[in-house]
Amino acid sequence: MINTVLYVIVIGLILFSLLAIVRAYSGPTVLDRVVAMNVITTNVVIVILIFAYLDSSFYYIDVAFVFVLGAFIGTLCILKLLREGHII
Amino acid sequence: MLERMKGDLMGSIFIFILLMAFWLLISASTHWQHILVGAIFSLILTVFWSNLNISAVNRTNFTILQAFLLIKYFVHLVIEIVIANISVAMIVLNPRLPISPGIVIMRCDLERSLLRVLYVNSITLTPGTITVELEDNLLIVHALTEDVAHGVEDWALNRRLMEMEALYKK
Amino acid sequence: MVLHYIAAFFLIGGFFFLIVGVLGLLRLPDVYTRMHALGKCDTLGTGMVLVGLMFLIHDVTNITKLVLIMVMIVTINPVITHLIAKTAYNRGTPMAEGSFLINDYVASQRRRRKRMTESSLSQEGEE
Repeated sequence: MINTVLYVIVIGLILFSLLAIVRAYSGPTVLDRVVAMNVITTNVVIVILIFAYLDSSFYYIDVAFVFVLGAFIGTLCILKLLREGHII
Repeated sequence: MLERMKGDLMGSIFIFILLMAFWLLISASTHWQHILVGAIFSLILTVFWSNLNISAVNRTNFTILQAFLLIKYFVHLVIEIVIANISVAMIVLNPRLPISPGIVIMRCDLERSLLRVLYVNSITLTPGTITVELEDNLLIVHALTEDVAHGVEDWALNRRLMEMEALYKK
Repeated sequence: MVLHYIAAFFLIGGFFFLIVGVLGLLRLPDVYTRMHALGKCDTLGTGMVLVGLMFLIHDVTNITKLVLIMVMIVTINPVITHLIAKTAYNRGTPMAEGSFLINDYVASQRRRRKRMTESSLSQEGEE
């Protein structure tokens, strides 16, 4: 039973991430795209973690860890570029 | 680098023990090679980041009463987060989309930086409001509906934080 | 088996809030209101899904890692939300039609001063 629930959640999250790409494509400003990419990142992290359970290969949890940190630093860089005009 | 470590020996030992415990927890093996690698990396990190000055943080007088208030605050925060999510879900799933967004400019009287951070983060996580800007004591909040905007000022979590601030001042 | 039912409750609840986040991203009119969907629904959705997974995994190491990821997301999401809102405000991104503005700064200052004088008066009375 629980595996069915997990598969449904994975498929649903992938479909809704594709919907969020619509916003990332058509957003009127840059910040709309940033928000959309953040939502997609969160969804992808959850998909990775659920795969780690379904496949019982728990090394994927470390991948999710690095993914969260990388997404955070990436968003910070984009926002700093928008605010100050340079990254470094 | 090493002089700083000598000046703050207790703090360095504290960081080392913390890192080592974390390593043992996530590596989950007692093989001597794993423990050696963990010890080497903990030592390198402790030496390079000796300017973190943990013992200065330890020295602040953090009493049991404050810890109790903080725990009460976090329990309250979780309940508020659930309520906030349900209200946002009701708004988004409603076909008529009943929103009337806008901006509220108000004062923030907290002075301790930890409490300011907690306050701003909890405004972001609670019903219908996100923080837009916080300069000295000028706080700009974006609200999703107009009813929420009128109720930001006297809000239960703010009162809890003011209690904690009053404790610090004594 | 009971653990599985509890886990399923948390997983489905988290999934619901994540869906609401994406729908809010699509339906709401401007950047600031879309931020509400990101800052709230994503935080609670991720938290609930991770708590559900913690009920399924019987391994202290992996549960520790999941707790770390949960703490990281719960602290990172409001910070990112606040930063995006601040950047949008500083760049002068336009708001949706019919947005209101309440300037409560002076009024709240006056109210605070009144409250302070009242409390000091009552303390003097008690003494």
